[in-house]
Amino acid sequence: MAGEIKRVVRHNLWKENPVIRQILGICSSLAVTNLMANTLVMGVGVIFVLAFSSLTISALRNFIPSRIRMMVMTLIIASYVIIVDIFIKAQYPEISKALGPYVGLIITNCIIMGRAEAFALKNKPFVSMLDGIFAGIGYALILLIIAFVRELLGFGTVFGLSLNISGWENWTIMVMPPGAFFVIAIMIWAGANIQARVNKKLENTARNTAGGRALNG
Amino acid sequence: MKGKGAVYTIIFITLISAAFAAILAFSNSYFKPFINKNLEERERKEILFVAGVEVQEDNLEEVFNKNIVEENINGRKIHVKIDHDKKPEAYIIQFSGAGLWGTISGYIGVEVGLGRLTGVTFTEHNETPGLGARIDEEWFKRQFSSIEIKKGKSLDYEESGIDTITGATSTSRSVMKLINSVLNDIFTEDGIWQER
Repeated sequence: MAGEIKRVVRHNLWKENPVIRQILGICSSLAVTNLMANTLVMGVGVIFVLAFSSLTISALRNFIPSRIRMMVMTLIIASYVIIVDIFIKAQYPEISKALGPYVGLIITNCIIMGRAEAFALKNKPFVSMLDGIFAGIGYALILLIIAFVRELLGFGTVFGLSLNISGWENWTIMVMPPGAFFVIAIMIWAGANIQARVNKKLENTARNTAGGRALNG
Repeated sequence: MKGKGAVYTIIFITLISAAFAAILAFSNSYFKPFINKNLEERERKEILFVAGVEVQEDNLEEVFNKNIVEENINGRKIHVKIDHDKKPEAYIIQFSGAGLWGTISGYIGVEVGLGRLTGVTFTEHNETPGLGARIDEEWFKRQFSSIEIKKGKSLDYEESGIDTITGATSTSRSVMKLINSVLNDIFTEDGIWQER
């Protein structure tokens, strides 16, 4: 159980990170990352939807007829997304206006259907919920990093707080969609690069121990 | 996950749809009053903006009630900005019409003498984000306050010294068309509007 949880955490935060490793959910990563406050609300929304849709789908996995499982999953996901949308509209109207249609579009976020198909249908409810939560955190963390860079360079602020750097000129391009493309591309590159190095190291140690064993034998 | 019969499938999808519809109906009715209150507050803020009244978050209701009254003018429900002696200063008229992608709605404020605009704002639109959607930005809307208007002459960007939005020619054009159609309506019935 503990090993399973560890695997879920490691895979979702790094090895199979939805955004920079699986390149899923890119649309919203581009659209809602120019202010950290908006990104945080979006991230929490996605974590909520992922957690509960994974939990529900996993709990129902033995009852869902496989022929119509996509329909059922969409129904469950859409319901949770609508609840999130209504809640944000009621409690945070300003942020709801800033996020525009993107909360509703969580329904089409591939991460959620992906976790449901790849994990929730084959695992027990509790682990599935954890998987959902950590996939959501993996998504939200990457988005927050992107938003941090964009907001800092584009507005000179962090979470709306001005840093008051004298002589600072805002980079307008960071606020516009192309800014997100640059930041995401750099992060995907960095992620792939670090993973490649780690793989190489692992390979080397594996070869060395194998060689050592051969000598000993 | 095994293959199940058609009857089971139909029963299952019916039950689960009903269950989730019930959850949604409940949360919708629970949050509806909050959402309506938010919408009303936003509407009031926009109306005060068009009337040229400064307002803070905490005294919205007080400022609104002191400055704005609702009136029925020629079958239209209109908000009227009043001064300290309750004399009408400006009409705030709702408009709505075609933009580039969808309907643009908003408010336009006209001084009682029909000589100047007091302001323009947009409450709903589906214009291109980053281009046409910039009609929401304050610098664009502020340009319309104190612009002179005249009967029989339509407003235009160049003559009034109003900047259009670069890259959003169609949206800018639609906005001006909407404003002019409201002004045209007012000026054709100007007797009713000016006599108060």
